[in-house]
Amino acid sequence: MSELRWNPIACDGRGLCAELLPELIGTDDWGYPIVSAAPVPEHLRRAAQQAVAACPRFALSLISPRVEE
Amino acid sequence: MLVTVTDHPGGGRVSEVPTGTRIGDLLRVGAAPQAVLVGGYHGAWLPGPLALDLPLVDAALRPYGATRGAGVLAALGPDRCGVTETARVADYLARESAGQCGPCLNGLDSIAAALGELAAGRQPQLRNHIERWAGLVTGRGACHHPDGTVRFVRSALRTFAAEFDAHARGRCTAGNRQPLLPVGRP
Repeated sequence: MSELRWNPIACDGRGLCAELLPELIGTDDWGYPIVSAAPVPEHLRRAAQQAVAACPRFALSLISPRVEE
Repeated sequence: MLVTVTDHPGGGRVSEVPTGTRIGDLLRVGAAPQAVLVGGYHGAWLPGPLALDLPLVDAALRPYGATRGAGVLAALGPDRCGVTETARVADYLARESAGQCGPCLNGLDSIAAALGELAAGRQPQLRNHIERWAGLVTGRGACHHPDGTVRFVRSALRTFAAEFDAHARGRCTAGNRQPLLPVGRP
């Protein structure tokens, strides 16, 4: 099962990800995403892919823990 | 190990001491300090009576939220204000943010501004916001500058709780207003 990874340097706080995937992404006081560290459940997979694709800063990605390291 | 000890304004002497030296043996203050900053600006304030008897080894410091860090020690005399010193350093640390990550850039700025208000005896409700903002900043930068800064600020909230209370009532108990800790340009 894959996980979301957030790049805080690339992120500009545009907020599209939190709108598309509120189940796993909240926002802080300044509009930057607070991304759940939990694995993305299967029923949210498509929404997660949309959130990743919608980020204008390429700051969000879906990673598979098996591939990592 | 090398230590840098600051116990008076403009001070800051570097010496080589055996690891595990008692912190009290490294300080030269007339009166017992009310607090000692252990580990530098990413370190932690510890109450004076506790800190003086601790050896300078991480295993002994960790239970109190501190480590040797950069080997920097600063002793805050009983006539000084820990809230004001913390606000000055937090402002410096906020300005030192590389500005790359939103939570650090915005969060440290919010925390530093709130500490400035509290130091001036204004807006006591901001004390609760600082704890919340600290949580929003921790672990959310590409580097650990926000984490270290929050460790320092949280230790001040604990160690200077009584002085924060006094500031919430609009008064500072310090008799000596001369800044102690160096913060680059003021």
